[in-house]
Amino acid sequence: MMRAELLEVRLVAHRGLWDKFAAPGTLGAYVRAWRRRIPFRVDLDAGTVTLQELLDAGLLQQRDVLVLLVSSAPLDSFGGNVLIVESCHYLPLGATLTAPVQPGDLVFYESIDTIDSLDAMRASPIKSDDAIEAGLASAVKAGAVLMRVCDLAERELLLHSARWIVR
Amino acid sequence: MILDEDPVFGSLEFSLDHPAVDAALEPLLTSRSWFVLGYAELPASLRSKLELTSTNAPVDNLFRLDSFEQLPAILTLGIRASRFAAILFWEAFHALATGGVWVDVDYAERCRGTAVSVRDHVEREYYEGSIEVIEERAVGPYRIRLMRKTAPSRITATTNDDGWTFGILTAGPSPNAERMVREILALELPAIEIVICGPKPANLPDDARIRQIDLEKPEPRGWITKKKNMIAEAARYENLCILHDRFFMPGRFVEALRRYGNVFSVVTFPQVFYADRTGTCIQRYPDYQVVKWSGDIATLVRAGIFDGHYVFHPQYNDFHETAFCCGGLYITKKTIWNLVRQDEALFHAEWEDAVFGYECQKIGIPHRVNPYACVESANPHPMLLTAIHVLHPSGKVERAFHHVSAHQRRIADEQPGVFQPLLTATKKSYCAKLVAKFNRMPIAQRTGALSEADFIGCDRLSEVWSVVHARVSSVPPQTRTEIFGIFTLISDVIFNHPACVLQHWTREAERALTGMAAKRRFSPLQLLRDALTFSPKDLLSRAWRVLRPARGSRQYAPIDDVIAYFREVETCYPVAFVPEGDGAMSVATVANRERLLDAEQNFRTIFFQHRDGLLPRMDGWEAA
Repeated sequence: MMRAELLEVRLVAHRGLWDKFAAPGTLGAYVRAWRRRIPFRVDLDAGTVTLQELLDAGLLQQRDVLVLLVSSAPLDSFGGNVLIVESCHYLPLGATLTAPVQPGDLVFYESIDTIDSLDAMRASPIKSDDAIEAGLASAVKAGAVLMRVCDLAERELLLHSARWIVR
Repeated sequence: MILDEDPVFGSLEFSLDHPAVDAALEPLLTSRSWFVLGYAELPASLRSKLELTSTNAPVDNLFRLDSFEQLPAILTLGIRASRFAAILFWEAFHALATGGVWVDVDYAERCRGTAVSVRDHVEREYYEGSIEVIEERAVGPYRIRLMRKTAPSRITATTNDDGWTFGILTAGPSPNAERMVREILALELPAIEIVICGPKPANLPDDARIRQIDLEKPEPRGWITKKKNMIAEAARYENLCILHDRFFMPGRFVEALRRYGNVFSVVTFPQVFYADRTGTCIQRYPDYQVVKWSGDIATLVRAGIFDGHYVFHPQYNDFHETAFCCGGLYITKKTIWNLVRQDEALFHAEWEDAVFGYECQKIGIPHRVNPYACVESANPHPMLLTAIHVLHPSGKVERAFHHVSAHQRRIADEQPGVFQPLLTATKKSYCAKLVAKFNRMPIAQRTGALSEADFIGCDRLSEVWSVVHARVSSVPPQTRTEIFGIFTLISDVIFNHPACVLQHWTREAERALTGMAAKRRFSPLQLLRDALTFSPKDLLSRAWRVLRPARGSRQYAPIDDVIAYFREVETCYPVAFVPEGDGAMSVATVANRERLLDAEQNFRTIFFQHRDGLLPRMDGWEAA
């Protein structure tokens, strides 16, 4: 699959494609995202899965799913497709772009639905993803590709497939 | 000699009123005799020179041509004007003899693919290697093609195989599967094998025709796609019938197969559930559906996520390229199944059947209905007991069409004893399962555990779930995990809603609990949209949604909705649980013709008049 096709689904599953059988951030949730070809983000620092487990499950050896690996420690090189996120901007919830954006750059931004605690939801000054997107308008104008990092990826696909899946 | 298609299906206009058409066609019509499928008459100058035959069979989902690979020359005129084009091409292709010629005339603009494929019909994968384009001409608005069938169809080599492999999926001890095996073995077919995929039911007859296979390890999601692919791989015979373990095999099963013919694509039978043992209250089970989506359906398939609000039950003689046979019962060829196969990334209730239908239709394999038998489901669909989404041939949709007849409402009061239980569980076993699952929810640590004693005095499902609602509402949830766990309970106990739905419910609950939902209801943007697209119905609907929170908590709206649904169900289905000590029903229902034909609802969901008579055919009824 070509890189452009990987970007058609303009969202990334924050903790995998979790469901009632596979809790968020578990290997099962990542396997599910991989099977459904939904891009997913793995925070290796969270400790719920290891790089070796991902490799053993064959999730990084295919080039037909976009995987966003996040680690504070340097990653040993391995044969896989993680190169597709070799150059990107990642914006945690509430952060803004600090580096200039080039045409074709990937800009991942965390959705407000990455908040898991109801108290934190109430306290968050950001109430909608529309506000985040508005702040990224200049990046889009510069030719960047926005990717929303969602914890409720399947809901997004259910409600907004026409909007978020670009063909 | 124009095809007979009911105007209700709204075929597009087609004519051959162009001065250059006959001159362009004449040199291509080298054969003397032609079988014509057309939506316009051939120009008179050509008609007089040729021997033309056609069919007077009405064009609809049932349309068949009997002469398998016998016709030497076929002429198709404007058949893309019909919504049944995929069926007409399938039938024409299989009727054409190898080496035969095919002249196709249509508006060029209609030859550039359809909603499911950018390829024109006979250019799709199923036909590849069998059709050669000899010559193509552009004449005015038309594309005229001369083609030759260079090889038999993919299923030709095995059409003499009259054996049948029945594959039954099981997931536990299944008395239904055991009964189905006996019913299948009694069918008068030349050769039969039965492949059980899953646990082997107890008390199966000792018969060499029965085999059992299973997944390497259990998969709690219900890996029905993998199981069905395994059955197709294991099948000894070319004719394949794959079933879930909840059917009664109809007595006219074999007759229906013979009536339909041996050259079929992917087909299902109409499926119904009888609410009562006297066969007077009938409900259509999801058997054949259409995804009616104005956007690009490929995007839905890619995500494997469909919104049920856009999935409808068409009339059985209707057809759309986005129609699909529901996963409970497939009749097809092993060759066809293995050409497409089901997507093993999808599991039970993940629209795996809609995706399969799309993938089939995209490569030229239509999903259709054999209405010459009707199959009874031993269980009802738990969420479609009172209403279903209906798609009329005219294109009109009725979301949540209420299909319970006045007769059913009446006897629910007068003769509750004739009703079947809605569930296969006793109240005790149902509550025990509910309690066990409730107490495993993350929030149960703070709400306190439930026990079966909490349900004493609850004789109705609405009462049982009211207890659950009260308990989960007793403490405010703190995390998404807690809320998701509550909705998982509904998915585990009532109906296996897919993850996308559970996530949607979860987010809506979060929004309600954090006050975000109320703010959105008064969006100025929405007010502007409403003003631009004013309709009294939408206005009333929005007003209702705004006012509704004031009437009570909607934090757990899906549980509220389930309780309201069960209250409605209880007015027309008086028996919910299997009585203690009572075994499951083990005999098929005898349909009451007079009573069923008396209910208007049944003609909007199940029955339809056809040239072949009233369809679908029911066991015990006259053929007429």
